[in-house]
Amino acid sequence: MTKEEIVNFKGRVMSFFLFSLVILLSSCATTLTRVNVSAPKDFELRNMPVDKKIPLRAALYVDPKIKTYEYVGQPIFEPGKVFLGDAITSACERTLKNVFDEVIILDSVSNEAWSGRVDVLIRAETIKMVLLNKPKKNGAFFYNVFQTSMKWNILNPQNSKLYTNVIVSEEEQKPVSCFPITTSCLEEGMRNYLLAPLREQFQKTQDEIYSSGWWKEYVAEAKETKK
Amino acid sequence: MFNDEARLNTYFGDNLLKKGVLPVYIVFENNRAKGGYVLLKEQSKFTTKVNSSIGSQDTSSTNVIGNNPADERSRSDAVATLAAAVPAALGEGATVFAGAPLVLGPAGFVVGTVIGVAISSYQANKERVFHNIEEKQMIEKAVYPGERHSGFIYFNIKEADVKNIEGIILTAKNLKNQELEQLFISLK
Repeated sequence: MTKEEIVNFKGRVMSFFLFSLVILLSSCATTLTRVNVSAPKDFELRNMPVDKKIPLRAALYVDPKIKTYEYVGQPIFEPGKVFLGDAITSACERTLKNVFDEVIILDSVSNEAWSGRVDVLIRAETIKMVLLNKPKKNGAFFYNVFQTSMKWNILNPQNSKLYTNVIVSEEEQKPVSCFPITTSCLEEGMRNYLLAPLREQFQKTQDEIYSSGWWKEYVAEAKETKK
Repeated sequence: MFNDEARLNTYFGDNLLKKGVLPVYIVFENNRAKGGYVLLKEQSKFTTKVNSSIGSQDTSSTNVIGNNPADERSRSDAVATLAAAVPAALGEGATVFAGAPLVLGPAGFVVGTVIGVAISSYQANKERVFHNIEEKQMIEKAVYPGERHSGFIYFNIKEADVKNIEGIILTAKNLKNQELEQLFISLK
């Protein structure tokens, strides 16, 4: 190797390191950038229409903790927080309207607010969203899974439970790449990042509430009583 | 009943029994013609035999291994729940972690991954075990005729006492009349 070639080689190595350093520093800056966004209320759900709706009038009460829920991303890994309260409340409403004949929305859970007006009270009580890191089956790799769980209770007018369930759904998460890094890209990334697991959660919610035998028994008993 | 080390490691990533937690896998099926039931896992108990009433549902004739093995006749402390048993066994303050970055540029992805892997290696095992336990637990769910529900119930017990277990008493609530029904499952 001539002296000139050695100098060229050194120059190329130096340029490569400088380029890598710039990329690295800009990425470190990204990890420190935090965004605050709201998820849209009307985000698209993937719930399919049911063959025959549940022939009951339902009142929906969403707990205030759900209405004000926001997901706060973990430092470094998730750059920001997303207000999800409105999106979740709207998804509760749309999911139930997809399966019940009639749904009214309650602001208060007092008996006066709903008894006499509807057949059942549906309470969305808690929500928990966590990002988990799981090993793949072969144990060699890890992947990120967003686990969402919501607690539901359905009560009759006498306040007795007809149905209770904690619906747990999982959605595999892939990192969203932003390059070049812009605030709007980070905001869009965070929004989509949380809407995907919500779609999965509400599809499962619909399936679970609709496929359980609770309402068939309740409707049959109501018919018997009327006779 | 999961009291085999290899099985515990496969399912939970740790030998829980050494930490005083015995996982029991329950399949709860409603074969009645009518009525929904909820299994009340907090009221589940395991029993050991005092006299010859193996398989009896009469709890008065059985012992439940509690936190005080010296007093085998005491059964007041034997009810174990996930909330009580697991954090105590694994240490409080377990949190969720993420092992890979989310919204980053390409190089940030590399940096984040390296950091993620490093953090994972420090705190992963305890948390992973905790999450295995949490996500495999039996959740509260109404089970109507023809439906089935399953999951783990965790009992607080010393490893040495496992051999004394005769069976498990489960309590289910009838959602229609609110009555409690007890079911005995022999583990011998």
